[in-house]
Amino acid sequence: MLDLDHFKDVNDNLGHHKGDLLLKVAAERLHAALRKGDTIARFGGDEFVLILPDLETIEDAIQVAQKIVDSFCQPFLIDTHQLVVTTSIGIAVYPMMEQMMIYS
Amino acid sequence: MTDFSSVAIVAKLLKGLGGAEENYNPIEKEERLAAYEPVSDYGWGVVITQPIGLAFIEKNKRLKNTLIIHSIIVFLVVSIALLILFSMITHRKAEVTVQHMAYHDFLTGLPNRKLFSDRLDIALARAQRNQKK
Repeated sequence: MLDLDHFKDVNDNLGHHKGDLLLKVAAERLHAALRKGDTIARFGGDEFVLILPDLETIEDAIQVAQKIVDSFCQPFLIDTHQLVVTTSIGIAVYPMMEQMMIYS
Repeated sequence: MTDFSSVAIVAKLLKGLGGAEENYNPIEKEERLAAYEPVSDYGWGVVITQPIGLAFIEKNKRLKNTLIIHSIIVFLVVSIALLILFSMITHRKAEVTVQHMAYHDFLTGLPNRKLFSDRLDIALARAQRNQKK
């Protein structure tokens, strides 16, 4: 599970239109970070959820998370604005019932 | 007096044959439809002729009408078939669109919460199965 940090500030300061554009570009970057068979969905607002089946180890999930964090390193170009957006990711693994957090 | 024995149907008549055919009529000087029938043993017969165009005028008229009616029927059937096909395609397209809208986020085009929920169920079930093995 993943959300964009301080996304509300973008909406409040630049307007919902720019916020929507940011979500679109962010969705594209997230989608590009996935492997075949993975699912990414928009849960609502700035929340996205990923399903990563066929994980060999927890490290595989961390690797995908790191790939996503890396893909957010480049600033987002929304119209004339350059936005630096970071993301917070939480990982839950089933059937191991282990939870951990990654902060970017 | 003219000798008609060289005319094909007269020759046939003289042989005692009857029938009907198209032939050149030396009296009218045109192709005509002729019906001929010998009369017993007297060596003569009856020939009735009619201009070919006149002979087939009724038949041609009927043929023309039948052709027009058939064309109209074929046209109607094809039109209705195309209409049904077109509406089926339109309906199917609308169905696909509605289906997509129901399961995807309109802004990003990504699966929405509902499709996520379905896929999560499948993934969890599969993980459980694989664990039991």
